[in-house]
Amino acid sequence: MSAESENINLLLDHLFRHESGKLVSVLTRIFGTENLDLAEDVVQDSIIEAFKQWTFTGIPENPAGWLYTVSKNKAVNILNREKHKRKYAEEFARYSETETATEQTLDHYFSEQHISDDQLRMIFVCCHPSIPPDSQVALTLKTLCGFSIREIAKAFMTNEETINKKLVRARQKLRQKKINFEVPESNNLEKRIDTVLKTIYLLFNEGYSASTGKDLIRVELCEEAIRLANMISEHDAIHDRSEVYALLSLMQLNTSRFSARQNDEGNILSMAEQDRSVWNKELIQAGLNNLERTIYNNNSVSVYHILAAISACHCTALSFETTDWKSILSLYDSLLQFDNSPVVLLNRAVALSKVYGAEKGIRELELIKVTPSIRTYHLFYSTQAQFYIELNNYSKAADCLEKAIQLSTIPSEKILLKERLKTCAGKIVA
Amino acid sequence: MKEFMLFIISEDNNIEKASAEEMQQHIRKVGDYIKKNVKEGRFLGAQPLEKNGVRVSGSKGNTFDGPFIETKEIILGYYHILAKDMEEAVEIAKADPRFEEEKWSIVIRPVLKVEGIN
Repeated sequence: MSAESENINLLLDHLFRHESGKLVSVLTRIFGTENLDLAEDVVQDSIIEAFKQWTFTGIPENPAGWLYTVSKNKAVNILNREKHKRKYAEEFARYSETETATEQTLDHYFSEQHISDDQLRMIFVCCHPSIPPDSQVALTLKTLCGFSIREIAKAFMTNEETINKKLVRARQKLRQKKINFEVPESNNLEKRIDTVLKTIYLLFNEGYSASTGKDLIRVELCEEAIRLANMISEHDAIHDRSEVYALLSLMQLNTSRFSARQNDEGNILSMAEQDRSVWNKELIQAGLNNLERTIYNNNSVSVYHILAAISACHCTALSFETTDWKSILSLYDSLLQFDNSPVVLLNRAVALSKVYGAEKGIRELELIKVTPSIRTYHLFYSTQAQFYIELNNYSKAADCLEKAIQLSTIPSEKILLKERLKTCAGKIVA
Repeated sequence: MKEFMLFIISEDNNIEKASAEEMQQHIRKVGDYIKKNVKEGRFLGAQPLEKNGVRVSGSKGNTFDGPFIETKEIILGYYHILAKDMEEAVEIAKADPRFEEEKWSIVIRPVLKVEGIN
């Protein structure tokens, strides 16, 4: 590929997806949330039109402008043709009593500032509390991120039918509840932002969860989550809320390690084994900057603040051994007040062992073993094994590893554990 | 060098199913292919065609025009190319990256020219 066309490709990175998200937002404002499917159809048609033309003539100088014009024209046609058939957004109806008025109003709606406002409104619509969380994620990916049903299904490792059902249900809710296309009023805003951030974090974790491989689509989910959080943080109504920056920071810091988490065979590498030179320094810097911004706000501390701070400790450490484990331990102590799930307890035990020694770690694990759900969690036993290895107690480590292998459901992880078991067995014989 | 017309034909539905991302990838790939051929002088023109059109048929005094008969096959566009012979034209057509994803067909017809007169 020539350098020239490579530049253009960078410029157009996900252009269709992201423009589609913008256009669906604007059109949903015009048609009303009850006509979301119509908005999606219009955008899809415009993209197909671009596809047919641009394949032959090349991509125009202002591709976004091209798509806006085509979508706008299609919208004008629909509004004038179907004026009496459908009920459109009330606000819009007032401004569009004549055909010229319709066109002028649309020109106004398709301006940059309105588009960014509409995307924010759209995310509040997608993350409306009356829609179940997993449908919220699917709807966000479909409307704001321009993913196809097939792509969403692939990202969720499920079939297209399941995703389609989730989307149908979400659209039904929009119709039934007559959800307005708006950013919630200030007294309601806090709770609603909470839901939006949760949905974005869910979307992020869907992509980030290490158990599901290196597929391109997974990185893209993380990128989309970061893009959405960025979009929200830039908005006037939101920008002083520190939890938005905290989440953004957390996602950027974690994503910086994305490609270091697996070796060439696709096996998962622990933090200790990762090649730190592969970590993305730009993302780390961006994450640290956003974490710093949270300090200047007086909002209360959220889970995202603590998790981002923990991630920052890892990202700034030169090696696993020189990590600031004392800070990490105290952060986990604070995190326990929000979340005392097995994962948090386990990670805290690791920090504890780094500060006070593996024996302390083992004692802590004995204490948290009373939690029923942890006894079926393979990472519990692999962590336990790690502590025993550090104390050169290889036979106990081997016992733990065997349990971990039994409980693990991920093939690549099983392989890793088996290798560790082999090393232990070797040391026992020696 | 001889002139050839290449008609790009698709089964109408395969595009509609593609995702935005796939469409973008496709435009990029095919666009690069066309650009390269134009630059190297092999393509004289390449244009998309609208789906809608009419057919004028009949004989003098009795011509009529009607909409195209609904068919699954749609001519999406054409390339007007230069090639040494049919063999090379076929090679050029086969190199079109659009074949990498969906099913397509490209009909190649030499532009009729009688040597020494045209």
